[in-house]
Amino acid sequence: MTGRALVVGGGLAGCAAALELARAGHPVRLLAAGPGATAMTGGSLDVAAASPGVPHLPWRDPLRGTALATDGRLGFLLSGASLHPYTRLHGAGGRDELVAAARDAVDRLRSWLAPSQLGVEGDLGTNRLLPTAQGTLRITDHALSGPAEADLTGSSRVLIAEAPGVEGWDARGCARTLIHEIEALGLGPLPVEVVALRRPLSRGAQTAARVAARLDGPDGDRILTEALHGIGTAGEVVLLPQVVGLRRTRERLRGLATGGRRVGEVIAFPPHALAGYRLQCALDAALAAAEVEVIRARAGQVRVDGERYRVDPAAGQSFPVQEADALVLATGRFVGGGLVAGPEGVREPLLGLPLSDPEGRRVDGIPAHRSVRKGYGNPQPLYSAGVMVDEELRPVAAPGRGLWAAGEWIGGFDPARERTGLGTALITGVAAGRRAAAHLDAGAP
Amino acid sequence: MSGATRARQAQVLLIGGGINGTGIARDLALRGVSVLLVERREIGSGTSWASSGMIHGGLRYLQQDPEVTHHSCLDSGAIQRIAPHLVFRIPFLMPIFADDPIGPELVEVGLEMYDAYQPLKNGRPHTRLTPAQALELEPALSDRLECAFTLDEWGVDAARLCVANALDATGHGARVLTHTEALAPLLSGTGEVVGATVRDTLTGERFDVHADLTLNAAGPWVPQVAEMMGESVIQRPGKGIHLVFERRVSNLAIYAKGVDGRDMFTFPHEQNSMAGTTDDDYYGDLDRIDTTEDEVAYVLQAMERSIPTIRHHRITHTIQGVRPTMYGFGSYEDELSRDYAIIDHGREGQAQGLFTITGGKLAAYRLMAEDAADQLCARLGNREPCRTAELPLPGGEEEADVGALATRHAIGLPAALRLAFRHGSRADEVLAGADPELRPAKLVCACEPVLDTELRHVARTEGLRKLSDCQLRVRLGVGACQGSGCGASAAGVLAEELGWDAERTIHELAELAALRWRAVAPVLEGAQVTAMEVHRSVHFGMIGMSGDLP
Amino acid sequence: MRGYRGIFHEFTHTGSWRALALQLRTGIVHVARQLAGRRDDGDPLARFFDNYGPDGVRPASPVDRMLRLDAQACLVCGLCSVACAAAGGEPRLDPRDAVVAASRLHIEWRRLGLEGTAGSACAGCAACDAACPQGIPIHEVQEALAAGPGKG
Repeated sequence: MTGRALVVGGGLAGCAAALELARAGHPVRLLAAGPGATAMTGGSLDVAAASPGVPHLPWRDPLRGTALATDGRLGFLLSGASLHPYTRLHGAGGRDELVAAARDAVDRLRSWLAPSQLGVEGDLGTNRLLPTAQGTLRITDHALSGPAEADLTGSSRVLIAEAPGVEGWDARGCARTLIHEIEALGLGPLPVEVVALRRPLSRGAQTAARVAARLDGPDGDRILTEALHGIGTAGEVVLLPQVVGLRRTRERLRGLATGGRRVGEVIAFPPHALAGYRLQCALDAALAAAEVEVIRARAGQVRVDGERYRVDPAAGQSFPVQEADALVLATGRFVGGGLVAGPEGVREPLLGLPLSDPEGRRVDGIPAHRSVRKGYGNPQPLYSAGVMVDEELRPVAAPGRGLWAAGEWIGGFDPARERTGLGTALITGVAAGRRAAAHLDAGAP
Repeated sequence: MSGATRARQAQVLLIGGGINGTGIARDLALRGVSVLLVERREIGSGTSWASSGMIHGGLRYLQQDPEVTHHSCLDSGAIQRIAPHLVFRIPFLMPIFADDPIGPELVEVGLEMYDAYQPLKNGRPHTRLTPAQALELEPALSDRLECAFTLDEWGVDAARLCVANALDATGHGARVLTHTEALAPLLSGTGEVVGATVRDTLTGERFDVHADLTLNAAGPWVPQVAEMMGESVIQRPGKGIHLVFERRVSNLAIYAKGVDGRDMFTFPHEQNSMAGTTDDDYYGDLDRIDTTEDEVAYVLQAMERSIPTIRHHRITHTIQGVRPTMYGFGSYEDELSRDYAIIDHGREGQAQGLFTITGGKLAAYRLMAEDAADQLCARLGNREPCRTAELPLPGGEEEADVGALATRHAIGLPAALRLAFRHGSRADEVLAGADPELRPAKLVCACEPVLDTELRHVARTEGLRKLSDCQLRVRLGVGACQGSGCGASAAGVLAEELGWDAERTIHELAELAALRWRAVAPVLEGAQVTAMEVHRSVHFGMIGMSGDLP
Repeated sequence: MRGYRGIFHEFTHTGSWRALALQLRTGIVHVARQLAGRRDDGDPLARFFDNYGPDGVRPASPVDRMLRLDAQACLVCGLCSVACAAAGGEPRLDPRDAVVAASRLHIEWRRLGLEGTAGSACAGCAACDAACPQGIPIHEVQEALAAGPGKG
């Protein structure tokens, strides 16, 4: 008889773990408190994005950060930031093993998202140049449908579509910064122009989400086709805000890619981003397809009884106490509730685990404001700290042998500055799920 | 408020664009005096912005001199008349506890005295409530209370009040130059001060401003400016901090006592509540005032005595500033006078042509401005009377119809409410640049809210020069998200209006982010920790800011 | 006499003869009125609400207080507004804007008699609630905005 598997956390890391456990044939339950950082993502899926947070990484150097392909950047991550969760994964094989694990995890993600028509474009050998709504360029490896189609690599001209009613979108502002970025990164000559759509996408001022929902309606495809009629020719990229539907984004954009032009969306950020919503919906659909039983509630406390874990509901939540022989915790940082900044200081609410930053500084039990430094750009212990894990992704100082950590809950890196949040979630989620499955296969408890 | 390179001749050069400088500029301009005002940073960005933003009637002066209360109430009434859009009534609830040093009967005698002056400022008479009644009115109140009283005062958007004064001054011919600092006095052959050399800190351009009279109205920077002019003015600067809550804790202001017996309040301010303030001698850098952990603890301890659950409320950030208090030796900070002085350096046998205004308080700004303008006009031979109490400030002409505004321009009610608050009867004019079909007014900031059309208007007609100045002008970036949602969009709008290149645009955004971090870090707790996690991921993760920020 | 504690302190801190005269005059009237029994000006709370009703001040209902404490956790991430749009909701006020406005602008809406004009078109499907990372009961906020005084 197989043991019971439980995953806490419904973001990318938790879903990845649950889906891997399900693939290995184990019945899985997943506790999801609500959307977290995954649902707020802007559209890139960085396994090893160009980042100024990692020592020695060539960011805006004479080669302008594009010098290294991302598998090379993974090497830098391993050598420079010794506590990054990736360093827990490469085992004896070093960088190559990590690259292989990352490739494999991205393939898994593709298979989960494919039924929802949501693509993950890119590979670890190439940089993609993805414009943001602000007009800056994100140099990264992977992206989700929408922003993925806006990769400027190899394009001959960028056409930025005006959409005067869409909240959070300013085509001219985007163009101004983009021209500057292209020049600063030495990517030219690549002309950038603002174009007016042939018909408006919205009436009056609307949030991007409302415009996208309208374009999901019966005449949405027609509106988009007419709006973009005659705009862009072969080799050109047309940039839109994140409005190309809440669903079927890849299909739509492919349909619009006529005559050799490409149509893509810019990377956007809350409250104007839809990419995270699309990703979360596709993951939820994958959980349903894999028959993962999802409990939509917040976990309270984790207790251990021999080799068996018991998860209580949080205050105000009602579900029967969950028992598990293998438990994956992927509750995120502050967004998501994996870490809590309360009156008694910062703490990890499920097990009360110690939390430390890359330099080993503890932040648990200390008021949040004492774990920050002056200077916004400085490394911040508060936002680099999380649970410490061993080579098996088991939280250090946690009881039992059937517990694994995944995602940003793992400390030792700053997801914002290193820009590897979703990459970490995916790769550690898959790894934790597989380890939990192996544990159960071995006959635990 | 532009025209930096045009005529640099004025009858009066004003140094300092806080409530004193802008109030005097307006008063003088209305009397036909030509004025040039230089402000080293942004209008109202010093003490005015950091104040409690109250146009109070001077309850505490009753014990010293009822005449002062009389004048304060009269002037509070006048400010309500000239800027009705910028003021809001704040009902106060004053709980009395058994261990309070002053008994309720004596407190009530004080309030009965104050009641007589309330009609002057459109105030309401006090009420005396039993503990049960007080708790019905405000259930968050500590149930230890002996009884409670209510009274009321008026709040004001102090930064907007400064802007309104500056706008009216420019409307009457004054020139107001922000981000322009006075570097050195211009001296005549006989040693008279005849203006100053100034420098635009954003462009680096230097030029001379020739003026018959120069007035130092630099608030807590008065001693520095005086020294630069070769004079000496001594102050006893008092630092004050406020905690700013994410939204309103209550629609009432609630009195609280510090451990040292000082009166403080948690009070509604526009859409938020604030708690404060402290009063401590300050000897540090005036250009880099930070809130400390013990100041926060002191305020929260006091608030907790009146509102035991106060720590459950989310604090987003702090504001801090320094009062330009008149010098006094041997007394506690709180006992120092909020009075003001106008110094004619020439009369004291020193620099002819140089005046200084020091001390004072926001609530009495109009009276002080009138006094200062009277003295300057006497010297200039100008006999025009002061008209600042009668003529409305820009936007104060009549009440805006918020419902109609929302419908006509297809904007949300919250946005219409705030637009009408900031711009009064001119709100319609602000939206004239939008077209509901072709170029609809879009939300830039959801917290305040702020529309892109308003930002364009402010950039075009109010002389806005920096993104970070939007914190004061339209309260952009001071809400829950601290600018992560709105900063980038606002920077884009301003870049277009002000012709910023991409580098400048990103620099402006990084600067705003750095300022917000400074305001948030001392009180970073609870949900704000989560909000700042999103904030960082937007800036570093998505937009791609690098680690080296200004 | 506890009610008059601190009287010595108050007199010694009186700054002018004029202030002293006013204090004595008002104080004597106050004491006389106290001795003659309580005053006859009715329920002070009713007077308070008469005075401040036009300013939109109402007693804080338990719902109002609960929503205020819940809504303050808002990150302005906009996920509620995406969920609302996905569910085909068409409230007059976007759920994100409703949460932001809760307790911030209610008093203004009451002052101007605009209550009930904002949230009434919300169908109450609660898609926004499930989408909120902070667990804010957003549709209750919408309902409170639509409701009249006493409820919100």
